[in-house]
Amino acid sequence: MLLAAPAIDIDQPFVNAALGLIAFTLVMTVGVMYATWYERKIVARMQYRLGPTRTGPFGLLQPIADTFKLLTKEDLRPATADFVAFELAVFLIFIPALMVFVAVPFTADWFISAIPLSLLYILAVSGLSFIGFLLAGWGSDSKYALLGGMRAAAQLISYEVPLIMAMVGVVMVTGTVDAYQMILYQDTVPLIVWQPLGFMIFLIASIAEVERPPFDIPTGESEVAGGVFIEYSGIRWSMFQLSSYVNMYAFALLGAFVFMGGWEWPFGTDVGWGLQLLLTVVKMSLFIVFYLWVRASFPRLRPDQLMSYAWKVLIPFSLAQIFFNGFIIVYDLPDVAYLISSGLLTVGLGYSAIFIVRRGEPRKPLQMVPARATARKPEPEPAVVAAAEGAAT
Amino acid sequence: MVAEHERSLEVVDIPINMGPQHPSTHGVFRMVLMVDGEKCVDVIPHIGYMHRGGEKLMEAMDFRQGIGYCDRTEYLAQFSAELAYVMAVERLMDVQVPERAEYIRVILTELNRLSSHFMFMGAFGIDSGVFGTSFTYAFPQREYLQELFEEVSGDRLMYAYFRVGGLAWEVTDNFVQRCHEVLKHTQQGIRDIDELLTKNEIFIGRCQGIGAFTAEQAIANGLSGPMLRASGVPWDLRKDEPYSVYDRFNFEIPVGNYGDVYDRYLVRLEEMRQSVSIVEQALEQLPAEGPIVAEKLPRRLRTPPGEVYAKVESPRGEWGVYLVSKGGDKPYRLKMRSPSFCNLSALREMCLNQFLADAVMILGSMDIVLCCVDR
Amino acid sequence: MTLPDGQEPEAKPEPGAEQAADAAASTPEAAATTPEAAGEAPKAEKPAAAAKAERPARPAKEPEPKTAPRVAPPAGSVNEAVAAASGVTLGAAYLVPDWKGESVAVEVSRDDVPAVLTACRDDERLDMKLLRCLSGVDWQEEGLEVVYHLYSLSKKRGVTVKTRVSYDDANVPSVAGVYPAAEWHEREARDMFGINFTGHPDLRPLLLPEDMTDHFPLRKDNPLQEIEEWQGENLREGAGEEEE
Repeated sequence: MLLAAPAIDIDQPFVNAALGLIAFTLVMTVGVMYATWYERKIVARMQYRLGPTRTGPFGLLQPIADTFKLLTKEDLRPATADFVAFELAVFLIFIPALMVFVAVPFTADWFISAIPLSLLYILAVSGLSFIGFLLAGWGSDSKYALLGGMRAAAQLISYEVPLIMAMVGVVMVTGTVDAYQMILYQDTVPLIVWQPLGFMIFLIASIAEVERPPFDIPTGESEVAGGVFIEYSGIRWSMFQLSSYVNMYAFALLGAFVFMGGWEWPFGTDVGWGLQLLLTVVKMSLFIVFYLWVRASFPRLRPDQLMSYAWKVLIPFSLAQIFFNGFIIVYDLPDVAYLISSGLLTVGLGYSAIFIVRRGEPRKPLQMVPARATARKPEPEPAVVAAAEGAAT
Repeated sequence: MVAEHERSLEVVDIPINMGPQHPSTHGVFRMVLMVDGEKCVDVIPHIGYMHRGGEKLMEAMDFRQGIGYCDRTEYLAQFSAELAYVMAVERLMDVQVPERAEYIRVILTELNRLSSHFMFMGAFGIDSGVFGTSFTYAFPQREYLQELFEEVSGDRLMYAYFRVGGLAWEVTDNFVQRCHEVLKHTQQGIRDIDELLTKNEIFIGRCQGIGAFTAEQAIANGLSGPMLRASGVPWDLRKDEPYSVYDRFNFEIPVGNYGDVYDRYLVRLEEMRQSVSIVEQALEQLPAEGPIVAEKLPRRLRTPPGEVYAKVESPRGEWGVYLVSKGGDKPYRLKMRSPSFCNLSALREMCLNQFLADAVMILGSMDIVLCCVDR
Repeated sequence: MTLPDGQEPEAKPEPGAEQAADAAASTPEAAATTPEAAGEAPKAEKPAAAAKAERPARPAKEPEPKTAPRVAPPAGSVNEAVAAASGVTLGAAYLVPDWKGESVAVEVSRDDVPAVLTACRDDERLDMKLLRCLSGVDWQEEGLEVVYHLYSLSKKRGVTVKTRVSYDDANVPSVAGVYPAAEWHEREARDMFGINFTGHPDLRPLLLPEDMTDHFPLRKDNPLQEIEEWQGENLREGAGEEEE
């Protein structure tokens, strides 16, 4: 779509959209292939490693090699798997992940379809994938997959709530649910300034929505050994991975548009598509690097901690945000009130996390029991003498 | 006979077979977890997949050949296992080990403890869900240790370097200098791990209060090593029954207060620092020259009849060798009291009513070596 | 270097000398003098090696001592405390070598095992809360032995408790109720020696396959024939010596 859409000037919105989607799918697939390379390189650097180096310059051909490997792998299905659920699950995860991009405006001119309710559409479609996870978990006929599927469903639904609530706060500030209008609203000041709490909640909940560490509970390698993916192989497995990366892109883009001003801030609407695209990519990359950084440094949460964090921390705070926003709207306070209320709530969110993790009194440090030398090293002379004597006999 | 509609309302605990092939069972270990949702209501460990009858095999090997088998049993703390074995034979034969050999033994055993704990740190990080970062922080530094062991013993994994009465051969000329170099890297590794995990909120949330054992429970279940010390029992064979030349060093024994997974991690981390200190002291005291094998050893080692229980503080706990000899050049009976085996026997009690994800952490905190469990 | 059977070189280092040294070393009293005693072996070896060509007559083979001489522990040792605490008449008590010195081993009859171990655990003078190790030993004609290594963390001393049963009646009361640590050790001993620990909560095979309940690999009637042929003393003399 990126390259194709402006060139094709057909006055048929459906054809146009279809062509754009096809082009976009291809671009996205290649893009995701290189997202893996990018991720491997960045995470490797964070881990004292080099990442792929052997295939081509800087290992640039590694994703292609991987793709060929995955495509030529045997496609296995357990004999006892539910055929329909097992096969359908892949598409139920893969297609919604791509459908999100229909409503995403990349620059002022480039988008597949201008939906007036685009934010609503994006959130609704991205929330569909949990059905796929449930189906995959059930259809694989494996207990690990079932556990993973149940965990995925619980997690995705739980984090959908704070995510949408954070968006509601933003919608209240801007007064629109159209992503395009929302970007235009951020002409001078990006929304991250007015809604820092919404941004924080979005950041946390979006990691959970794309199931990346530390929220990779449904696929936790050390617990459920891959979770729903455990019985998939070859092309189907790679479609799961692909959709996971596409999801990550989608949420990075969403964050860039809703909170960072997208292509609008700070240069305005009329700077041309080149700079706008660059702005979009840079802002998106910031999110992606953040996701990778978190992945390389945090352990995984436990399911109950994950749940309690969503329901006991994020949702109350996002509700409070909505309440304050409503108060400001009703009494027509100046915009700075958004910043103050939301900023204070953000500080509260940070503290609450610490209190929730460290409940009770502070732990005592380790006791150090000294073990002191009771014997001394004998003087070297007798030892040498003894050795000499030993040699003599 | 239960009616169909009633059956559908039955709540069933699902048995989950974790292992023998599972990323976080640290080898071929299988535990059947009966889970009610995410809670473990029962845990049934199954071991023995790696059982090779090592004790029987060692009855057929003479005392020198048996040393090699010790490595194969405890492949992460080989020097500790070798040390216990040669100590048992030396005690029966009443061999006096030369000073220099004792120091080199201590240095290598402590460095081995460091490499073993590095392995634990890496693996435990993975168990807790860090995407490989703990591993890649720990392993480059562990690699320096491995290189040192290779230089000294000629092998990366199966060192077989200790001998009854001393060492197999003299260490390399630049051994002391190399040790100092390696210790620098080691300290870097300890710092990295410390910064990555110790203060990490999620790590703390995952570790604190999990799998806690009181001191009484820990003793009754026969735990030893860092597991026991984390429960608040200041028992370390290096201090309480000092063997070799351990009574010549000043060091501290970290003892936990809560006995949970986090304390076990902290105890091991602190132990690494203490090991560095012990190695530094030992390098300082190491006699520059001297014999490395006891003089006047018979060519074929024969022990008098008798029995001895030799024990060392291996990175996992008390590694004991119960050696019964009827005379001759082979053990009549050799029992290896492996700390992994004894620690693992407490797994069920620790995991009951914990979450599935915690069971993984608890198993990880035991730092088992499956070869050492099954022998 | 391999020679056909029956052509063993006569350069075997006099076994008698070594055994004498060994026997001397085995008694604790002689322990102090052992380095000197052990030193005789290589000395005796050298003339034998030098006289290889002459092929001196092999000295008459002395019967090897099969058991260590038993030295009674001095008065006031831990065995008396065990007897007093448990109120059980103990069997023989003797010293076994321990790291730096000796510790005490006591033999008890199998029915007294739980009583003795409970007393060891609970009595304040003993306070042996830790079961270090539980091993089975197959003494062939003399039956099967179970060895318990107990240790007191507060008193810093241990005791070895032994009990012996015959093959036909290899039942020992389980101490898993006294020391939970014994549970897996007993299962292992049952796997390996066929000692039936009565009263054990769950005596399924632990290390062996679950259906392998009739064969006990660590008993001495399972010789490691094929390995033994290439191990230890059965190696041809030269092969072992060339390495040195």
